[in-house]
Amino acid sequence: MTDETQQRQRWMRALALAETDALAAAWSDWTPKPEVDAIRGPEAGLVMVRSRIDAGGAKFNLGEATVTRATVRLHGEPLGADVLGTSYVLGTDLEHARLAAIFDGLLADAELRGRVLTEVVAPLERSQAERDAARRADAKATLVDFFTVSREHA
Amino acid sequence: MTTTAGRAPARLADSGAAIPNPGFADPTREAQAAFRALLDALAHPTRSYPLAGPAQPPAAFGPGLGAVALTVLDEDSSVWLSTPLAADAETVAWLAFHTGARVVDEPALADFAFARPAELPKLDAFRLGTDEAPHLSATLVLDVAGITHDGAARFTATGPGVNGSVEFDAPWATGIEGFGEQWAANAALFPRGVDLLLVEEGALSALPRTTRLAQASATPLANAKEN
Repeated sequence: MTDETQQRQRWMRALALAETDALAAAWSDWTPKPEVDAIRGPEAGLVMVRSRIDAGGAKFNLGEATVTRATVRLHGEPLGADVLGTSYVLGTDLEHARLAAIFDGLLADAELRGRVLTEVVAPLERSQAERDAARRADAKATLVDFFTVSREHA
Repeated sequence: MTTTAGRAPARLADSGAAIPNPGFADPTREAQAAFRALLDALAHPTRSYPLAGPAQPPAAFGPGLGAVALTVLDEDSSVWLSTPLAADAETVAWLAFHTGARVVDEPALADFAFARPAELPKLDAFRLGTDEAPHLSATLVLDVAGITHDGAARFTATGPGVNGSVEFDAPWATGIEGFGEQWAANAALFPRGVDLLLVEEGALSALPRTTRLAQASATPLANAKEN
C-alpha cells in the first residue's frame, strides 16, 4: 500500500467519523470557496460487508450496511485545476456524505492539502480521540472485578 | 454499489484523469421514464417515443445515447463503442463512472453497441444469441440525430407490434451499406438476431428483430401516416 493511499485513508476516516455539524461549520468557515457540482448523489444504498473468520479462511457475507455516497466536482478559485472528491459514509446522512466529498476534493489539490489537514482534519481527529477516550473511561468505570475468581491473564 | 476494480480493461484505467460530468439529476425516476420509452418503442416498432437525456452528457455521446446508456448499462454489461466514441476519453470515463460497464474492442463480445450508423460494422459481426438463449444477442443503439438525406430510404414495416403495415422514412439507413439485405438476413435468423434502437433528438424508436422491412417507393408520401 502506498503512502498516498494510507494518507487518504487517514483523512477519509476522520471525515467519515466526524459529526455532520462539525463538517458543516468547517465548510461555512472555509474561504475562498470553490464551485461545487454534484456528479453523483448524495445517495443512500446498501453495501454487502464481507469478512473472513480470523482474517483467514473463506470469505463470507457478514451482512448489509447502509451507506451514503457522494461524488462532487470542485472548480474555480482557489483551485488550480478541477478536482474530484468522493466519499462513502455509514448511515443515511446525505449532507454528511456531500461535505465529506467536498473536503476530499479539496484534499486532492496539492496546494490546499496542507491547509485542510491542519484546519479541518486535525481538529476532527483531536475531537474524535477525545470522544473515544471519554467513552473508554466511561466503560472502564463500569468494570467489575471478581476477587473470588482468579484471572487467567492477569 | 459493487466495485469493478481489477476487472476494468486498461483503456478505462488510462482515462482516469478525465473528470466525468453528472448523470441523471434524479437517477431513479429519469431512468424509469427512459426505460418506459424503450419498452414502448420496442413494443411498437418504428413509432417514436419521447426520451429525455441527462443535462450534461459527454459532447461526443449526446443526451439520447446518454439516456439509454444510463438506463440499460450496469457493471455486468459489456459495451462496444464506435471508434470515435472509444477514442473520446470524456465518454469512456463518463460511462465507466456512471454505469461501470466494460468497454470491449470486439463487437462479438458486446451486449450493447453505441455508434453512428456510418460507423457500424456488419450486423452479423455482433452477438446473435443462440437458439437456446436468443436473449444473449446484442442490442445496437444508433445515434441518428440530425441525419437527413434527399431521396432517403423508405421502408414498409410489418411484424408483431405493427398494425398491418407502416411506411416510415429511414434517412439513417443510407449510411449503412446494404441495410435492407442485412436486416432481411437478421430477421431470417429468428429467434436469433440483433435489435436496433434508433435515438433521435429527444426521441427514440426501435426495430426489434421480429420486424420485417420491405423497400417502399423512394418518394415520400405527402402525409406520412402514423401507423
